[in-house]
Amino acid sequence: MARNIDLMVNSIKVDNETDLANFERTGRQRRRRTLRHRRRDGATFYVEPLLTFDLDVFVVLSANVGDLISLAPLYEALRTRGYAEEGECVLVEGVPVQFLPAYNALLEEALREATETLYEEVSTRVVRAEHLVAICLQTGRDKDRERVRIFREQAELDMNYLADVIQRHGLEGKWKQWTP
Amino acid sequence: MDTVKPDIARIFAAKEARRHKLAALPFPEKVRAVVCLQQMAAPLLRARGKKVRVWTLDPQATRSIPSR
Repeated sequence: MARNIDLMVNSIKVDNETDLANFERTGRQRRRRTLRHRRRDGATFYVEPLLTFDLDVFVVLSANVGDLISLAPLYEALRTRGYAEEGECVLVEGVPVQFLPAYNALLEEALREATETLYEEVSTRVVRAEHLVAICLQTGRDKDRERVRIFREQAELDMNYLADVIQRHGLEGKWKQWTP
Repeated sequence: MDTVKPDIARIFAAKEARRHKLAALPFPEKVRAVVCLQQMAAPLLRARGKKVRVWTLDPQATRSIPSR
């Protein structure tokens, strides 16, 4: 069973249960401020606002080799804090949030190399734009292709860093295909 | 071959410039813009039978929604 929870809201990282509790306490203290550290869309940091109704949260769960990864402890922790499940999501202060385990090396690297930034007065960590582009390439849907186009047009990308990420994760073919 | 008339090209250029301006907004402003987009899209999506929830924003947090 996963015990320590590494939680990243495209950008926000909570290292363990203690931090999750701190997040909750901060949230209660500032209940009037509606969009805080839990609510992030990584892409929104770098490009124009795009329509979305839910928030995907990548979660790194530390489990022993051979253990099944389960989100149950996280859901339980959120439930005890009053955040109810709604279909595939958990409703966190009015925002449907879907938790997704970081399921491959690219996502783990993206969370590991996220950069520290401030959202209003709250310190947070944001996945680098280059990693978001690589995740889009890997996911490979039409909407991801469109997002890559928008990133190239609007975000300040470190092309050398991006080339390294693309090469490291075997995404050169898709990059060439999508950026003729 | 069709060519774009200069006034139309100017409109496209202005739209492009606005998108870059939006991309440069502070993150909280962008979030407020996302909620505006949700408010516009929700009735249309609901009419098509899709269940969507517009994010709840604090009234103070909506004080400076970017305008066109």
